Amino acid sequence: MPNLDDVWDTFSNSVKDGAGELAQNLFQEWKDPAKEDASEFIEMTREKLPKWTKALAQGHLTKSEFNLLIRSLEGLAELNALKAKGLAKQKLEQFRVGLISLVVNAAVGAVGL
Amino acid sequence: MNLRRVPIRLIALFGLVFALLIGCDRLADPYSAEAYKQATSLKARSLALVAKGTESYSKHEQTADLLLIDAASAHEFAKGRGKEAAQSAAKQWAIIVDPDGGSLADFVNQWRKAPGGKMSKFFVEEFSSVLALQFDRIIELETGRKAAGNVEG
Repeated sequence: MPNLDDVWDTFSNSVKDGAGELAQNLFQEWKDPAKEDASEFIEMTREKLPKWTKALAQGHLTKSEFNLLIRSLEGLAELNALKAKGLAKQKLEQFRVGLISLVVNAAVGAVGL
Repeated sequence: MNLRRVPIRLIALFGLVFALLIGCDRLADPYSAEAYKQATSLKARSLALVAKGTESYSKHEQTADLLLIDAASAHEFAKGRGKEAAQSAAKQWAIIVDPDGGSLADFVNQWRKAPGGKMSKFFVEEFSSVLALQFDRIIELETGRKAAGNVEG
């Protein structure tokens, strides 16, 4: 008869180690595109705002066109945030599914099946 | 090891942990080929319409109306997909169809009211670049589901 404590330790250590690694990989996969979107947005704002302000002053843009361009940047910022939020939930779902697989494999391994 | 020798308490414990994980609601909605097709198609059609912004609005009114109806349809589709999509993809579409949202519907609204029904060439070029990125964010959210292996099945 196997010792319950030993089997439980083997099982919980396998799950803990695997879950930590899984979480780290998934977090990295989520963080990278979010950082890229934020950098792209900052770069775009830095480039576009002076260009649009100058065009407004020179009469290449009307006031309402200028305002719409500003709103388009606000819209883009919001779309970036919603994408990051959605991707985070996708990664959490991926983590949940991965954890189920880890638990099953760890349980099978712990009881030596 | 013989399965019959594994304590029943241990099997019950594994079963409980497994059931707790399985019992959770799905945290993200699965990839939808239909949603991807809607987003890519509407991106191409929207950019084509914005490119016509230097021409008279009345000439393109029907195309604009049809495009806004299709974008509203994509918004409704996203709202009905599930809890997560309603909180992410549907909210993205809400920006696209908002007449003050700084996106497609806002553009059509301003174009309609523009002096002579025309937008400036400078504006059209600048707005196109931002609008393309806005649609990319919707498309990337959808392709993220596929990359995460979150596919219906």
